[in-house]
Amino acid sequence: MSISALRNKLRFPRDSGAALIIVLGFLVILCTLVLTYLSRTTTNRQLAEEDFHGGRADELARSALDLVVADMKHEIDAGTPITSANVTPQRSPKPVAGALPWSGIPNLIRRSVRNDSIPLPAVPSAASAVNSTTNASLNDRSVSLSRWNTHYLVPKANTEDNSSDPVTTGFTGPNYWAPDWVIVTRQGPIAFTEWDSALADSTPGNTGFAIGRYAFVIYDEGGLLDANLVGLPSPTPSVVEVGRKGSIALADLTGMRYTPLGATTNATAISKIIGWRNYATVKSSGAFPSLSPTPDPSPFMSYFLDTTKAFTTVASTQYLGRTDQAFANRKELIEFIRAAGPSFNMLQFLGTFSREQNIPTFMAGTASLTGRFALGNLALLKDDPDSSTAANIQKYFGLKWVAGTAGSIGPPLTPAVPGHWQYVGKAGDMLQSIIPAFTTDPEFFQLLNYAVYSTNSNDSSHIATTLALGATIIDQYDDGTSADPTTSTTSTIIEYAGGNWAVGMENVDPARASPSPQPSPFPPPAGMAPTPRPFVDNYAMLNRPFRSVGELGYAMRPEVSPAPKTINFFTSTSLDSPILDLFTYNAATVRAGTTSLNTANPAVIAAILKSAITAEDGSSSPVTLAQANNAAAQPTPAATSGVIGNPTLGTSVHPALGKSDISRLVQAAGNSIGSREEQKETIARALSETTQTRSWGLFIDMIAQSGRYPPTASNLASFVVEGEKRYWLHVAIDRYTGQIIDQQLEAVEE
Amino acid sequence: MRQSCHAFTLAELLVSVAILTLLTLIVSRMVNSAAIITTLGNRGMDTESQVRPVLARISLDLIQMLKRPDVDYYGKGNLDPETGNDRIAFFCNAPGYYPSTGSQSPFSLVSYRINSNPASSSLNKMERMSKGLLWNGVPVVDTPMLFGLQTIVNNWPAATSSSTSDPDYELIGPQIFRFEYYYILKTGGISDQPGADGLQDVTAIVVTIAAIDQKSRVSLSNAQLGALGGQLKDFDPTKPGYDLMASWRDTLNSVTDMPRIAINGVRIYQRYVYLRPPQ
Repeated sequence: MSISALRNKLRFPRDSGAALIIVLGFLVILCTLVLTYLSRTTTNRQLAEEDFHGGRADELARSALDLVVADMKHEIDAGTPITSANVTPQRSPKPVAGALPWSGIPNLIRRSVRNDSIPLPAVPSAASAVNSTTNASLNDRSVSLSRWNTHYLVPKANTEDNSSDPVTTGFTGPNYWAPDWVIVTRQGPIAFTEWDSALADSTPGNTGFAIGRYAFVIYDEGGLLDANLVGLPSPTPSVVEVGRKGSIALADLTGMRYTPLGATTNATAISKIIGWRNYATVKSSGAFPSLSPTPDPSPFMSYFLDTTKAFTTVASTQYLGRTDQAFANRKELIEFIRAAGPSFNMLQFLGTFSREQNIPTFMAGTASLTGRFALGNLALLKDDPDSSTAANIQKYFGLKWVAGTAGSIGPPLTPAVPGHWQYVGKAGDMLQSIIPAFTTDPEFFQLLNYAVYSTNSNDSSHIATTLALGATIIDQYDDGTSADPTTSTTSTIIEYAGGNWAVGMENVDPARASPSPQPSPFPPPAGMAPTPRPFVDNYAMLNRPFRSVGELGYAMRPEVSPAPKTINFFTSTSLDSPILDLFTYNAATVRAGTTSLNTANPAVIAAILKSAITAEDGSSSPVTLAQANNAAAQPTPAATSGVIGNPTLGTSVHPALGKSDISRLVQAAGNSIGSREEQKETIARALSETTQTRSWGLFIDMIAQSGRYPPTASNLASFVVEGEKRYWLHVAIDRYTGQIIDQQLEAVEE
Repeated sequence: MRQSCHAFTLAELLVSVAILTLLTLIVSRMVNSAAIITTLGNRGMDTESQVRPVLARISLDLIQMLKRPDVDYYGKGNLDPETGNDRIAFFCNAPGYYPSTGSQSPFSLVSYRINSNPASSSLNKMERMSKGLLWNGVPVVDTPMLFGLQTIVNNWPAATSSSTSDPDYELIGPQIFRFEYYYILKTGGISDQPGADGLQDVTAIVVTIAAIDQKSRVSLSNAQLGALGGQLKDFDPTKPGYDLMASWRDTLNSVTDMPRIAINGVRIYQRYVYLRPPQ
């Protein structure tokens, strides 16, 4: 075949090119279809994977929270007996004793950290040698210090702006206080100090394969002021109304120094919070963010001084179709501060979640108390009560009322017997010669005897002093004007077995025989038996309901030798101090608002103390800003005194076990508020109703990442992050029982 | 030059035609099978791609729900057993559609429903409301966050209704026609009642939805879809070990009065959303 013939044979006809175009067209369409399909499936796969990894991260975060909370409960279980060394969560790093604020992070309890040397009974965090901030993952994921501080619980480095940049003082770079990752393998969290190839080996059966990691920081939210309660409206209630305290709501936030230079906020800025939060209660006017409470402070005071309220929910009052508000979570608090002020620096002192079981921690003998005695029960004690009230009086006080009998000049001369109480115990009519034993649910005098003499057995030795002490407390509480119709005495008188009497103390008693010119016998015609106690000079009479347990310090202990003196709430050796723990003004069983007595924030204590009245008769001024801060931790330049700062008595070196420790803390504050007993006990009055030691109020900041180490990984940082979840868990755990009182989980979407 | 004549015999032609027919049959069956599989896969993907983000959104909203005893929520319970499609409304720590003026709070009122309004274009479709709330005290007519019980039903009735329209409702699941949920209680039991303390007693909410792919939906009228949804029974807590998904599958398998091809396009999904931290 010639070449030209072959060429002709191979040459396509002119119209055969159409077939090629058609085939190519089909190929293009086919490819497009395939690519579209692949693209769609890839997108769907990515969506599914993202969803899957997000779900895994969520599960991981919840499991990690479970582990951390379990570790805290284990710490409580292992921390027995309860001492000042373990009553609060162990801290890591442990604060330097007597360290000033601003030298570290007062709220920090611990974080996940490698080679965790946290003291027993705490459980080390099992963190590995890979840091959440400085060791970026293989796909370049890390958590900056600012992001770790988006809750603003760490003091801000720049106190002039709104950023969350935290201080690093007291920590070593480059990690500073940023937590390390806890690597979770198929068999759970394991601490690695160096790379282990098993982490990347996904072979079934390899229990060392890593499935995720988490890092956490725990803060002491219990040591903060609950933003759902604190703050005063402006114009503020009267000096006396605020100064008697009795509720955390009466903490004066202008007493908080929130920068190293001592900056404070002003009353107007705080009032905006109340105007928004207690909108219906205080009938606010104006417009957000500058809402103003009504100038009448009485609704505010009535609401927060209601002894039955637990403050775990807001008031149901409505005003203009709107209700009171609450900071439902920390994010809302932060957004409120952003929208309405005051300073972002305040956030380090404010929380949104606090819970306490209103149960004493003081223990002696075999008593097992399930609650504190509500001082409001004292209002039951009215002369000649009706049968219903009488039953309650016997239940709560072991007393029965007996009407007085008139005296007769005789002969024989028979003195009048005033209307009085008989101490018969919780049941029956028989006069007692002892303070009866109890195991639980004691009445007033049993509890008083238990407090002062640390016994819950039958006690015949102290019945006279205990009943007399109780009677003077009753006389402080009542209005002092209700006179016995037979003798006109206003003193409380209690009869007990053997013809014995315990007499209270009213400094104004018409039945008291003054030197002259009174007829004799007095009161006429035949005198009375028993008689009122002699007048005591400078004995401050309240003659009103107590606002706090600390005000029991005004009551006289008349039987104490060598001379009567008031209850002692101002020395570390006081035997009266358990009273502070066993009684309560607020009667709610589980309540919000009380802050940890062992808080590391001097500003928190200062806010509670500021504006407290130092003398019932107004003879000395309320607590000033400087006094309040010095009483918390006097910085000259290291703390030399104060509730927190005292180097031998303060809570920073000797945490309080219970509210009975308040007496010690009053001594720790020295003369920072005044030198007289009444002035010193200002601290007891302010702290007794606003603080607690039972609950660990924890704020757990948790970031969990699902993912894996690729087969090529060669170090602990080479983790591939596939999903991430962050939670803030607010949890209150009872230190004395290990019970979770309440908790709130806050999902953090960033 | 003599030209040779080449031709097939009749037998050859018959054999080749037979083979071609056979091949055509085989190939057409294969193509048909492939087409069916591809179509089903596409429908599945279509439904899945819509349901997955919806479930993720529901989870995210429920996780961010405000769970305080004094904050209202509207859900299945004593006051409303919610026969048929369920509704749920709650305050949520997520942004929503805010009024044009006023300071925006971080909260919104979120609700989910299957629209039952025959006049609505969203009939038998899942809608989500996300009404952004202003801070309390903002001087506009829009109601801010309110505390207390019954506040949702009293102030935002559309949030609790399956038919009332509201501009803040958006179509989130056009293929979802059945929505049911029940509670896992702190005690470990499952119930259609949240417990004496409301959501404080609930550990998780189990959300179950039925969705139908777009092509299958076309072959059913709205009335038929509504009827189909009605046949998928409510969660029944009285039966121990009750499996809602299995119940719905059985129901779907027994449907005879609707095109099977459409029923086959119905898919059922379930997700557990945990509300509470560990105890």
